[in-house]
Amino acid sequence: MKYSISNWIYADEPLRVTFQRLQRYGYDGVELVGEPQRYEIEEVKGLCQEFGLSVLSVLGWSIWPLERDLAHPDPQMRQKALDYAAQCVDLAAGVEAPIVVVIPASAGRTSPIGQPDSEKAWKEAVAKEWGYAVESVRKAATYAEQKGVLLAVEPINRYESFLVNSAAQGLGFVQEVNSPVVRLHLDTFHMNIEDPDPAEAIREAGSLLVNMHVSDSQRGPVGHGHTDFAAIMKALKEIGYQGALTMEPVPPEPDALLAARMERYKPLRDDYAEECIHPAASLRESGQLILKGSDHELFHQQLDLW
Amino acid sequence: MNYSISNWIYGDEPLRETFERLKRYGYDGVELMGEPRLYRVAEIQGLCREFGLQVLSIAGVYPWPTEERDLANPDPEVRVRAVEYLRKCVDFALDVGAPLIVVVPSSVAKTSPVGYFESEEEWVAAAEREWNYALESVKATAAYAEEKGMLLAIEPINRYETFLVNNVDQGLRFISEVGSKAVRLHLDTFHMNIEEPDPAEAIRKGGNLLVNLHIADSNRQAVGYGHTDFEAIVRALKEIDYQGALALEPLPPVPDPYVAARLKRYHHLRDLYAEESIARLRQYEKEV
Repeated sequence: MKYSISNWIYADEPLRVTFQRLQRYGYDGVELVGEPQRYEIEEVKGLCQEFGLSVLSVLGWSIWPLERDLAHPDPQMRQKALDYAAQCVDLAAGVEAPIVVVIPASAGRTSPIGQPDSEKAWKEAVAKEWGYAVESVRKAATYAEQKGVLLAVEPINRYESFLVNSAAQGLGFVQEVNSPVVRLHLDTFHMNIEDPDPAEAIREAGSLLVNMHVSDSQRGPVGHGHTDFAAIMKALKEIGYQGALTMEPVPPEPDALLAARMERYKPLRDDYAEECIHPAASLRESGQLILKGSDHELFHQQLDLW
Repeated sequence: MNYSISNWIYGDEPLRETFERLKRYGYDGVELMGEPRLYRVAEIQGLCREFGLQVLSIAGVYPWPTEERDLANPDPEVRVRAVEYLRKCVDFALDVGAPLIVVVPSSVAKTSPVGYFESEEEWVAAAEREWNYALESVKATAAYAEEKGMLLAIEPINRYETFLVNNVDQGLRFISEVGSKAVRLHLDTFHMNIEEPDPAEAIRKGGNLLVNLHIADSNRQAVGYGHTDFEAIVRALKEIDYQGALALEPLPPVPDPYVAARLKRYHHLRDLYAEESIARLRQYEKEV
C-alpha cells in the first residue's frame, strides 16, 4: 500500500511546501486537486523527481455549482463536465498519475435539478440523472482508456450528494458503466455515515477498489475519531489492495472547505500529516508509548499485526 | 428507560395511527413535533389516555432559511419571534404534560453565520456573535421555562446541519454559559457518530445534564442497520443512571431526511423499524 495526501486540504499552499511535508513524514506520493490550470506539468514532474514522490491520483473537483456536473439534465452542462473530466485525464497522463477520482453528481448538490415536488417526479428525476451520469462516465472512460488512465467513482455522503452515497450504490454504478477503466474509490469518512460496515464494503468492492480517501469519523486525522482502522486495514489486506491510502485530515471546523483555508489551523498541517502515517506520533505526545526503533517501522509492524 | 418515537419521521400521518403503532410495539410515549398549531390539545390528551402513552418530549422545529425560528440570528426581530415560538412550545408542552423541549440553538441547515464574510477573522467574529445571540435567546426562554417548571434540552447536531453547536463539549459549554437549571442537554446517536470521537464517552460527559436522547443508527436507519455501538451507548446510559427517554428516529434509506419522512413507498417500513428498534435496544438493556 502507498500513502499520500490530497492537496485540496492545503488550499493554495505552494506545491513545494506540500511535497516537503510529504517527504518529511515518509509519504509515497500526493493526490492533486483537479484544477489543471493551477499546475505546470514540468514543475510537478520536477518536484516529483526532487522529492522522490509520485502523483498517485488526481481528484476531480466537481463542486456545485461549478459547471462540472456529469449528471446535469442539461446536455450543454454535461458537455462542460465532460470537457473538464478530459482536462483532468490529461493532467493525470501528464504527471503520470494512474487515476482520476470522479464524483458522479457534483458535491454539494443534494437534490435533483428542479427540486421535484411530488414523490413520483422526484423518483423519476433521480433515475434520469443516474442515467445521465452513467452515460457521461462512459464517455469520459473512452477518453481515459486512450490515455491509459483509470476513473475511480467516489460515493459521498447524503449531505453532499443525493445520487451515489453508499459503497453499494457506487458498485452498482460502476457495474452499470461497465468499462474496464472505470473502478471504485471509497472514503472512510463518508463510509462512516453511509455504510453499515465499512470493512465489509471494502471486501465487497474487492479488486474494483483502486483508491481510498482516509480521514477519521469526524474528518480529522487517523486516531481522532472512532473509525475502526484495524478492521479497514485488515479488509484492504484481504483484497490485496495495491492502491493508495490518500489522507484527508481536516481541522476541527464544521465546513471542510473553510477549514482547509483557515490560517489559524495551518500549524496543524505537519502534526496531522505525521499522525496519520505514524499513529505512534500521537501516542508519544500523550505519553502512552515509549518508542523503540523508528515510528515508521512500528507502524508497519502494527499493520502486519492487523 | 422510557421509549418513544419522534413523530416528525412519519410526515403528516394522523396521530391515531402513530399512537396505535407505538402501543403495538410496547413504547411508553411519543415525542411530538414542536408545531403547536398542528395539534388540538384535547385530542392528544384523549389519545394518551386511550393508548396509555405519554408525550415525553417536544422536538422544536427550526427550519432554515426562514426568519421565524432562528435563536442565533443577528436580526433582533428574528430572535424575538424565535423566542416567542419557543414560549409557545413551552405552553404546548405544559398542556400535553411533556417535561421538555428540544432546542437547537441555531436553525437546522444553517451552516454558516448570516452574512457574507471577506476574511477568516470576520467569519469567526460573526460565529461568536451568533453564539452570544443564541445564549441571550435561550436565557430569555429559560426564565419563562423555569417559571413553568419546563426543561429546555440543547441539541448538538452535525456539521452539515449547523455551524454553531456540533458536539457534546460545545453543548455543555453553551449550557454552562446560559447558567439556568432549566437548560439541559440532548444528544443524538446519529449526529454523535459524525461528531464525537467516542459517543459513549459523550454520554458520560453529559452525565446528569442529559435529559433526552435521539436514536438512529449510523446511517439514520433503525437500530441494527448501521455500525453504531449501541451496547456501549446503553452501558454509558446505565452508568449515568439515565432516566430520560430514548426517542427513536429511524428513517428509510433516502439521503434527505425530510424527503425520507414523506415518501409513501417507504411507509411499509414504519412498523418494521418501530418493532426492530425497541426490541434491539431492550435486548441491550437486559444484557449490559
